[in-house]
Amino acid sequence: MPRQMKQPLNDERFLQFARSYLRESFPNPERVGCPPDRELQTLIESPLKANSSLTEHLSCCSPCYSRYAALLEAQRIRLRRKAFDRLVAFYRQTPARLAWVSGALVLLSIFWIFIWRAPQPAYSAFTLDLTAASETRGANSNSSGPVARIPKRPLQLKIQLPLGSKEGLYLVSLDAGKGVVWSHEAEARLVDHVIALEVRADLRSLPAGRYEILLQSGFEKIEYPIQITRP
Amino acid sequence: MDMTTREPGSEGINPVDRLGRKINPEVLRVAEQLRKRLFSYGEKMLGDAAVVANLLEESGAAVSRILQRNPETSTAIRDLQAYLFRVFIRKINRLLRQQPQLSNWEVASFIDYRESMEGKVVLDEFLGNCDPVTRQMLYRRIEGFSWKEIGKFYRVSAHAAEARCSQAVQRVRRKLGYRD
Repeated sequence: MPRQMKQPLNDERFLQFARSYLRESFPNPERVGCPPDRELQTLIESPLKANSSLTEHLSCCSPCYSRYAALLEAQRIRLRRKAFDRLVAFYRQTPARLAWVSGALVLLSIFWIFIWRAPQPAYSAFTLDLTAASETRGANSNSSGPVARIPKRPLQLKIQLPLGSKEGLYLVSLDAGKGVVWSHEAEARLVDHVIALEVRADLRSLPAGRYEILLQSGFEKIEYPIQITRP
Repeated sequence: MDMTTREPGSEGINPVDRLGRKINPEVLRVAEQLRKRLFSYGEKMLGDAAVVANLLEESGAAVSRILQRNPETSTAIRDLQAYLFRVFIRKINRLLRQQPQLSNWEVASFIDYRESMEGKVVLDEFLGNCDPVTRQMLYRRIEGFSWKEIGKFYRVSAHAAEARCSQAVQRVRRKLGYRD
């Protein structure tokens, strides 16, 4: 529904005007045609069952409207207090429920702390020196060269790239022979005259054994054999 | 010769309208009962007793015509007093909307800006035309109930209650020619 359509009935000025207009503009000192208080009470308590013609009379009789408004006000206060009281009574009258609710909250807190928010692994620094490796050309690879040994644990891996490598974004991946089992992107920068990049690698989930580490940036591709060992 | 001045409206309501048609005796009786109240309201709004007297006669004639034209309407009108009052209010509002300036200071202070004037006309028209349930919903809204609370009483959702009242107000505004 457009917002404008709801405006008059949510506009405090309009409601205030209506309040004073209905309460003051139709004086009826002789109370001509006014219903008994009991009927107004019925209209308040069960509006769908009450005599609906009363509403017409209320629209042009300020004393009746004022009485009706007073009864409505009392009902409104009663209803709002009832809702609050129900909440208080829920806790006061049934301490067992309170215990259950508190227990559930404690369990939820434990679940939050120990399970859902599992502690982050501590990453230890490890440098992999590939400065001696050379870029792969064609189908040849340097798999026959020396094998670097990497412990099977969370590592802050610093990889020193071969001489002549360029700075920029590299895709670092581990190939187990059947396919890539882990990969990550990292930016290579020149640090102390060596091009190096840093990645975080949690190798705990990988089985120990021989892998190929691959570094790719554009057409540049470096492969190097590594051995993941038990810590 | 009687030299006492008589206040307009104090002499009773003419039993025939300006075209000479007889006014329904039931309407005349009710108009007589309400005369004091209608004058009090009319004078507050218009400030001219003669105009109010004229409007009262017109209202009585209009209600009488409605009852004569369609006898089934008489059973549909649940409260003839309230119905006549609303017809009278509608006639006053029509006159107020035609007047560019409000002459009566009391009206001017009561309706201190044009927006409230619109509010008054819309409210009167709304209360005169809508069904009893929508009217009750409006009363509750005016008296500070939330839409959720109103919905509970009439077994509808808060949105349905709000939409029902808002659409009724919107219909009235469109009918009166006010912009959305």
